[in-house]
Amino acid sequence: MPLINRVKELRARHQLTQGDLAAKVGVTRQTIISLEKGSYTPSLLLAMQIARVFEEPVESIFTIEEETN
Amino acid sequence: MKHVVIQSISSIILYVLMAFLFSSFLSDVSTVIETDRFEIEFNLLPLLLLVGFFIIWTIYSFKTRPNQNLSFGQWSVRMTEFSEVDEREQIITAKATKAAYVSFGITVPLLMASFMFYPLFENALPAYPIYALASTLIISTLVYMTTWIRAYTH
Repeated sequence: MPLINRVKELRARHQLTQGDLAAKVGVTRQTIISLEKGSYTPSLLLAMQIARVFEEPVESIFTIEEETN
Repeated sequence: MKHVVIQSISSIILYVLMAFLFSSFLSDVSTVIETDRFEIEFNLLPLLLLVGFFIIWTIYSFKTRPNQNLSFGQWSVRMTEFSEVDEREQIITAKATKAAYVSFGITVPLLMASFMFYPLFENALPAYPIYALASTLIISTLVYMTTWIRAYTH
């Protein structure tokens, strides 16, 4: 069950670069790139850190694909 | 990724130089045994190459270590090929290490089987056991590196 996310959209809305977001949550830029592409599923901790940056609940950023169908 | 590639290739060069040194040492010792003399002559070239490369590699690797907070003592007991800057790299490293471990499970039995034929070519290639052991390390390092690159760029 792939996880889809709104990180790219939220990052643009908050005017953050991939590097900015990476620095805020303590990962590499490549991890943010992979996350936005959907090729990397983050840990719960990272997902919660991202949610905290965007001030949104985790479940509104990360969704299991079948839930959206 | 650059770090893993450089460190993996450096490790392979070290294994080759070690194999060269030990095979050269074996050859020197064999000469002593065959001639039954108590004079020992060692070819210093492999040792100088290994020591020279090791010093340069140690300085470079320590200066470019991914975690700059590590002291020399902490850094020196870790495999330099590992790059675990964040959770994704930790997962990739775990995956690559698993692949390297699996490669041992394939190469070691094959090399064990090849030792059955060692008496047939012992005279032609007396240092075969040394190169066989080095090749298991080289193959597993190559497997680690390629798996790491594939997972990282996925």
